[in-house]
Amino acid sequence: MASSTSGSSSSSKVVKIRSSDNENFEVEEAAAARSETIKKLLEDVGDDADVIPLPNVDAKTLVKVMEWCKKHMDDVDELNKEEMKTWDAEFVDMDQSCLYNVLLAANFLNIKELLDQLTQKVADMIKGKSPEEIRATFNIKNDFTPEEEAEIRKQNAWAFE
Amino acid sequence: MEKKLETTSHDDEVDRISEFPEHIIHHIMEFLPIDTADVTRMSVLSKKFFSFWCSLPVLDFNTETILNKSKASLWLEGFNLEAQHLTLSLPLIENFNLCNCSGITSITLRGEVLGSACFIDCYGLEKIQVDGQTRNDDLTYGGKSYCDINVASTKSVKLIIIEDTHIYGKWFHSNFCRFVEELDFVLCSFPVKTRWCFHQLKRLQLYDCPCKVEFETPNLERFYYSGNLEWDIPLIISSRRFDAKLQVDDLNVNPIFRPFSIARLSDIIRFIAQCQTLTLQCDSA
Repeated sequence: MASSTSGSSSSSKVVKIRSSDNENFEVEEAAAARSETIKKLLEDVGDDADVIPLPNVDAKTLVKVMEWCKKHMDDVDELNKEEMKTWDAEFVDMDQSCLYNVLLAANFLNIKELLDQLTQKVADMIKGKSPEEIRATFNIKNDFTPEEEAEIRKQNAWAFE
Repeated sequence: MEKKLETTSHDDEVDRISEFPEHIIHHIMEFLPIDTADVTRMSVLSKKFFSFWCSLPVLDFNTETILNKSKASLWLEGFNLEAQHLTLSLPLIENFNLCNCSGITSITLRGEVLGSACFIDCYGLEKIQVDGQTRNDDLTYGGKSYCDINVASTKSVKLIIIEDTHIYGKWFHSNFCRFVEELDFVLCSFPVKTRWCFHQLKRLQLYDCPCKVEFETPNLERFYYSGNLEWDIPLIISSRRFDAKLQVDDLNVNPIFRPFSIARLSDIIRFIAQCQTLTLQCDSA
């Protein structure tokens, strides 16, 4: 009974979370708590928590997000910073639809650092491109008439030189 | 063959980015350098993006007009904005001043030649962040309440000046404590007795600040204090022999009080006993 006070290697509590497509996952609490949303839910329900449902995140995306959370569980020391940078760069290097899913999940789960990394990645995809190239990259449909577009370009001509 | 190529990319042909919530699009825009026109170019993508662009809170400066001056300063005074975050990229500005502007809850500042930044009496300002490559070497904050001053990503900020503020609570966990080398407090008060550590601090100056705080500053080289003899004065804990200068007024008041003054003065000197040289200056009224 008293065994919990000593002996065990760490106090890694496990929480259960459920994806929108009803898959259950067991995650270390310290990793799950990287999400402010989950952290808040855990505080609210306390130890009575059975499974925390995440209706906005599907299983595939949740696996990705939790992979990031696990890696970012503790603050990294100076030595591992470079290694972490490489890991992060590889992590955000995913296909567009996956990137969007993880980004929206990071937004919903309120994981600021992850959200920053992903928005930075999207910004990098925009940087230095012409409007035509940006439209092609993101499949954005131009719904301006040529006249309307010319007018906006004229107002900020410096940006389109 | 060509047909196959088309179908492989078919999955990605849906425009999902336009369905993103506005704050995420703004967040993406904030990661783009404003001076390279990337953000402005996004305004012609589609009607949706035009509206995203219109609602992005940025201040747009015509940099050409200030290009000719050798030192470019930007003063923003008396703006009242709706509560919002503001990101400012100021590629040509050396001095930035934000005074009496309300509504800005947090501000991110970038600029390659930015030398000094000053934030005075901006009601509601809770967070200041200086980002990326800057030459920013001093930052001044003046205001009644706590502000999270974050200079971690730019290691160039050497001097921080804090004015007219009650220093307690969250201040002692400020992010800059770990980096700052020179720190000035002007007309601040330190009502709580606690110990505050600054490992990199080389110069500490307190102008007219009653102070109960103990400063643990292992690398201190210079210390200056001015104030009234009756105030609490800070205790300096340093293993290094630093130079101290003390400027007090009211020493030669009514002769009856003089013994008190002298006794108090010796008390005070004990507080900075570890110093190497002590300069004492007494101002008569």
